Amino acid sequence: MAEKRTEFESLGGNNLDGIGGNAKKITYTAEDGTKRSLQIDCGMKFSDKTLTGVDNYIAPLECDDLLVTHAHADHIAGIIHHIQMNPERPLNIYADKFTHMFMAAEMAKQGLPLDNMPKFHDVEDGKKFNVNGFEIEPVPVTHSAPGAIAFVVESPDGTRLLDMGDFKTTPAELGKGWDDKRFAEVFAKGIDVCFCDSTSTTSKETTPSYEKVTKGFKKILYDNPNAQMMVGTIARSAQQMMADVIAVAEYAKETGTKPKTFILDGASLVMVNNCLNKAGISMTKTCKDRTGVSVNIIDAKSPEARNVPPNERIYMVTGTQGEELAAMARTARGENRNIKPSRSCPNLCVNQQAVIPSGDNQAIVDEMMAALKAQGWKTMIPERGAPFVEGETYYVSGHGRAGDMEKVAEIAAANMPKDRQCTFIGIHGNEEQTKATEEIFKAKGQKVEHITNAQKVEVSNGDVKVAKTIGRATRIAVIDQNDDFRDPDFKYVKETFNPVAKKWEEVAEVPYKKILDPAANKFKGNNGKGGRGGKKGHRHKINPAVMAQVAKRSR
Amino acid sequence: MALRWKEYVELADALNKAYPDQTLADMEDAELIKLVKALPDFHDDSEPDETTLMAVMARWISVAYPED
Repeated sequence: MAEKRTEFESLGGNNLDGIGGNAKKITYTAEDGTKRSLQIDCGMKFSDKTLTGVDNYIAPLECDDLLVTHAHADHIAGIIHHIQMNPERPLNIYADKFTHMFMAAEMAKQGLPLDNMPKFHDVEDGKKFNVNGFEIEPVPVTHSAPGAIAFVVESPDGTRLLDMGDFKTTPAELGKGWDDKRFAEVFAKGIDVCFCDSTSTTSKETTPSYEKVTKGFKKILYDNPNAQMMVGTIARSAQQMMADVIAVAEYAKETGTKPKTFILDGASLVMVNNCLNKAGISMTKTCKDRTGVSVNIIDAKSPEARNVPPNERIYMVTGTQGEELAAMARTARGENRNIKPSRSCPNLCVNQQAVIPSGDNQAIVDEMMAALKAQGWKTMIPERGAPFVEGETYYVSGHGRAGDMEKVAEIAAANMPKDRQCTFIGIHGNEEQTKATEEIFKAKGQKVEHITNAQKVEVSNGDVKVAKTIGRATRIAVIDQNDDFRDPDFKYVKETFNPVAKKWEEVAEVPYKKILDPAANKFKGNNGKGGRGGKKGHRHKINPAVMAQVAKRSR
Repeated sequence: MALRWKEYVELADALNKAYPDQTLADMEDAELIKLVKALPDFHDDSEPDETTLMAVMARWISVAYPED
């Protein structure tokens, strides 16, 4: 007879060299040796193709039952590639309704046939469900993506693991979010191992709430009362957009003015708004319930948008990092048919995302902002890592810092049953970040362990052990041989990590079927003025002086 | 060619041609079903599930905003 045990393995996300490609596998072995497994998340890790020759790396998908914590690419973007590598697999996905809608929309955008779509199962707070013999309890958390959840996974032998997903411990603006009482309940039932997001734990204090964004954004409205605004955001991180909407409502109430209208320019934002409505967490309804003020959110192509006076417009756009085809860069090039600087009022561009330090991002964003300035837009962009200033800061992260981890430790300490001990392990980060997480819990008197990818954590009869040997982590290199996302020709290469040589080694090419409908992207970037070519993520150099001339001509 | 729910890419193209000024950000499922059923080439008696409706909607949004 084998010993009953539950194993946790980080399939990706606990990297030596950065964040991304998150995936975790949980396996239960019964006394008769039979095994059952499920996976949590299957994400992507970005790659600089100019250096690696690889577009992206994706985590493995080792189970047909997949729990998904939230809708960010580093947790979900591997899935559609795995479907192409094995279109017949019977994939079941368990996720919050917004995450479900968002994933279905993304897969449809890329032309995945309906017959190859996974089977989606909507999960809700307070409703436990069973997957392959595991009892699963979803618990809402706050993250920049709405509908983010943590999962308690209980094995048939009663072992309880808690994957926190990506989280911070302040309230959500949209939908359900972090609730101290809810986590007190979870820990009161006993948790054997808690896996915590380490992205921002090297930073002190607690990550500010979205309420602080509302205050900062409201100050911008007070400082620029008559401006036509263009606000750069990340579509799927809609908590921040919701904070802006609340700011507009509160400003209108405080000043007795008509609320400005949000005009969504771009497929991603229109789609996210649609997904939010379908998930029952509409931004307009949330705003009305919270403030009593109705704020209009419309799409840029609707006839209604043309009738909104310029100084009442807040264009929401994507492309905060200067992505070539996104609305902000097209506006900077004078190529956006929907957004032009107004001559009847001041123009203000607020890029609500700091520059992500990668490749030549800084230079590209600087050029884009300079080109907008040359067209007459006043520009604002937050500085990465700048200290929080009450009433000024208009961007916050969705990841918890040291203070958030301390709060989790305190809730656990106050509520865990006396005869059970929780072990805390940092995940979702590089070595420095995951170790920082563990130090925080250790300082709070909690038991900690440390793992890397492919290093198993085993729980048997309440004993938690980390495997001394590290297996070979696996990833799939995704290479678009056409280098054109409108007509990709993928090559998938399985690689494993050699822990002795400390390098990735190619194992084999993985065959795949071209199942995406080629008609789905045929119009991208070659219809009208938008975009040039189709290099995914490719960014244009912009000459501000030239763009200023373009803008003058286009007025 | 007869349009069915399953061919959601073609269906979205047809919707965009038939209703170019339609507001999409807040369209509800009932409205989408009504517009699809009003398309002259649509012939399908089956009931679409939520994922199918989201697929049609997402494709339509993509066609309406080709630059993004």
